[in-house]
Amino acid sequence: MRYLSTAAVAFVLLTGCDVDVDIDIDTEAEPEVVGTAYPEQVFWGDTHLHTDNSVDAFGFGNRLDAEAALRFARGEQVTATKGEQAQLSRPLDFLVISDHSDAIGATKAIYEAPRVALLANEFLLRWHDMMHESEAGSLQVTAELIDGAAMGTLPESLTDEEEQTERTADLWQRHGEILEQYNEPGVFTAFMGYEYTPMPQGDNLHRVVMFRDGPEKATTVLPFSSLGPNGDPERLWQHMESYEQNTGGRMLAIPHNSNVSNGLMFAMERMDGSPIDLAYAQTRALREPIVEVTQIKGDSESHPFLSPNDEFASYGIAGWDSCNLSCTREMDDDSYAGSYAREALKRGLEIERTVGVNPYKFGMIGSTDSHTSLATADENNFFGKHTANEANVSGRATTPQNLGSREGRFGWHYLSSGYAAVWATSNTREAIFDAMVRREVYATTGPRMTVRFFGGFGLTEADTENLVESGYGKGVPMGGELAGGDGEVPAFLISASMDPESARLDRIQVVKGWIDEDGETFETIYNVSWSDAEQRVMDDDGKVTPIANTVDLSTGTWNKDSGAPELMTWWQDPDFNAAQTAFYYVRVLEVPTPTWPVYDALKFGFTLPDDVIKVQQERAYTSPIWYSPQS
Amino acid sequence: MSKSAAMLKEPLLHFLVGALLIFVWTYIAGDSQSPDRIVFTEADVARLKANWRQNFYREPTKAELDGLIDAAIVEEIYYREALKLGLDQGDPVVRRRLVTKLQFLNEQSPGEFVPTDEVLEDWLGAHPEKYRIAAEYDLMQLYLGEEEAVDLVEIEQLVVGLNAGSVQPDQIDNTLRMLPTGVKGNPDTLRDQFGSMFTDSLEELVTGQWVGPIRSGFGIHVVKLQEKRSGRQPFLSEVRQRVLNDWRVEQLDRAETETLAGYLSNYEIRVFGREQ
Repeated sequence: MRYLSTAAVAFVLLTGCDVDVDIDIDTEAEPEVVGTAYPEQVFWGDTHLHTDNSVDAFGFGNRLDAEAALRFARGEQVTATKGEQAQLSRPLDFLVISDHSDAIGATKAIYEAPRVALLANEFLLRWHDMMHESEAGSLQVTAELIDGAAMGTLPESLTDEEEQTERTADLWQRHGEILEQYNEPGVFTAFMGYEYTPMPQGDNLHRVVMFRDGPEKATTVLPFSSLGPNGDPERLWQHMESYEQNTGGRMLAIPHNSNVSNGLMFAMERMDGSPIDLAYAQTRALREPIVEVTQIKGDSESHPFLSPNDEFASYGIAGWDSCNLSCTREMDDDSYAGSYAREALKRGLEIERTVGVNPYKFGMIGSTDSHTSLATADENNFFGKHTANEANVSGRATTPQNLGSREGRFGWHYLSSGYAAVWATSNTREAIFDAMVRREVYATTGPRMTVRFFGGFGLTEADTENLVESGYGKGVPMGGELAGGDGEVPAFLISASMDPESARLDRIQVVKGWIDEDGETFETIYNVSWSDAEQRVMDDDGKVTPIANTVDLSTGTWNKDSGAPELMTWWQDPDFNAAQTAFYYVRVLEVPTPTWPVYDALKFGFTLPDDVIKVQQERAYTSPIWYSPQS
Repeated sequence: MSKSAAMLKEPLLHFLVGALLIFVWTYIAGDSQSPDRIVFTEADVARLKANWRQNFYREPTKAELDGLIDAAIVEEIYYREALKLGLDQGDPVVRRRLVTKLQFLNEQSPGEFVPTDEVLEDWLGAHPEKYRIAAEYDLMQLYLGEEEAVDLVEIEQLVVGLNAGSVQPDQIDNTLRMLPTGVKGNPDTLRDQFGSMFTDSLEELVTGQWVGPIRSGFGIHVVKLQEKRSGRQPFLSEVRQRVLNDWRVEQLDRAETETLAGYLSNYEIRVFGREQ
């Protein structure tokens, strides 16, 4: 009888080699998080962070895993890969770890190497090793095995059939378990997600994909790879639809780096060259409600070539606007329009005119795209894009850093940017995701300004006394839509408060884009509120006296008296034409402050070359509010 | 004869051990495909289909399946050609990937990372400050203006007046309209709203008294502490997941150090320029 059980055990040993992975989740019930009636608090997060699970991140030496990334985002001190102590000045409220899908999907093979399969079970491992070492060893272990079976002292995992149930413990699954350990509704939200990275001929078509759901649903599918035929985003959207239909869950995709897409990200036709049709427009608008417009690899909101009248359009373009992501294809004049968000919003109006639906009706956020596992976007606490450029690397601002080659881009071209601001009713997966779907979000280049933006018919100047209640009660928030109005001119309520840990504000602008009867699109920028309004005047062209640059490069400080801690206004479009579909979004500018290379130069004691940008105005971009004539 | 010795003579045992050895040998040796011959077996195609099915909840069409197989063939060819050229040798990405893979697998050892409540209570007791539940403040704040715009003498008078009742809070023009007058929170949430300069001053507040000037990143405030609920040590049940996470991270660190020490003991290491 003993020998039969030995045979059974041996059989089980050989066939039931599954890895036993712990779920260290506290199963005590957590208090329900109650949402507020309308969003009262803005939540700050990074939707685009890479850990050592990403091929390129660990290729550069990143040794920090998802757990370290989560702890850092929650405000803990972490030792960066290159040894420096790293800590955010304030925690983030949410995080999407978005490692490249090609590395973390379908990695069941990680457990298929035989010795590896035994690794997790120490008894099996020891047995395996001894079997290989010597005959005496193998006989000894076999004897132990037999003894154990006889005495009933074998480890449970060998005899309990249920413990051996099929658990395809791959990286994606393990990732979900780690997220659950750090997801704390009401305190910190950890989202399931990954990055889908099609890059035809080096043109960037990347999207971050994120789930409303926790790992239980999200791990029923594999991170969607962009290889082969799946490199067309329309495939991704098909997959997203299948997931939603079959699980009842929700996904969304967030494009980024249109600035290096060579005009492809917001093209006027589909990837295969055919014209955009109604189905495409509907699908795109549904699957991609927001766009990441500012991050380490440059700012994609606007460009002087497309907006020659915008004196602030040149932020974040140096190093990024002459070629695509891999710098294998140069940008020609025709490529700019499909590469920048403001123009894309206008293109959306054009396509809506011909096809009936606007595919580019998106909200705007920022994120870092950091590959160091450290979600930093503060100029004086910037840990760079790759571990080769962390904060203790003295030469990082001036070394050439193109991807793949060593030409074209230099360290200082990389921005210490940005974060996603979300107006949600609670800090939970559901509430933050839903806010993104309705586009009640805005982008910043790092500083945590609080920005409110409402539009409606019937909003009056007196409503600034009760801005938030009036805005929600009588109008729509950022990301919303106004329609009809019977010719009445809509009004907007806008407020911006400085980040108390950053700099004061220079001004608030409203960016308007519209389409006329001939199908041509236009844009105008209005200055609607600015600091020191008594001294600074608006001229006939609508331009306001630029705020003085008070940055002292020798100390990295600026005059704290410059600018305003808060700006607020009620505004109507002086050129409103009720027949013309339009969008309006808010851009908020801080006073000029030093860029991160300046802090580096002071810290390490060197002089920056003349061509390095040393002063910038950090900014926020809200999601637009769209107006259309018909209800 | 000892029991063991008798057992060792059992033919069944010899047969079993032999069978196990053969099984393990073939398992480890893996499929041996002859060079320059690429075979996609039914199992391989099934795997491609399964991945597709998992993401699209339907079978791939013939065209889609052909696309997947063609892509897989190309990948296999490039993979083999790369191996022939020895491109895996010394490749920093391959090296890093293998290191990460092993580190990941080493973390999978179960057993020692499931602590009892007693272990967690000990941990909680050993790190009192880390999990301390912070004090809760119920404040009234009035923003008086930017640092350069206010008169500190006037502020002192204002504070006196507020405390005497001769000046009412709603008589003050609060020029930062988006900052609420009534504020509740702990030092972390207050810092998010007002900045660290403000929270540094929380200790000087006295219940029921207006105090000023209190500085924040916005400018100058006067603040009245309505109520303060002191901080306290938590019960394990209130912070269990965080304690569990932190304890586990330390165990993993220790395990990784031990694992590395174990590996190191198997290697003789010599470095140019370093003493042995």
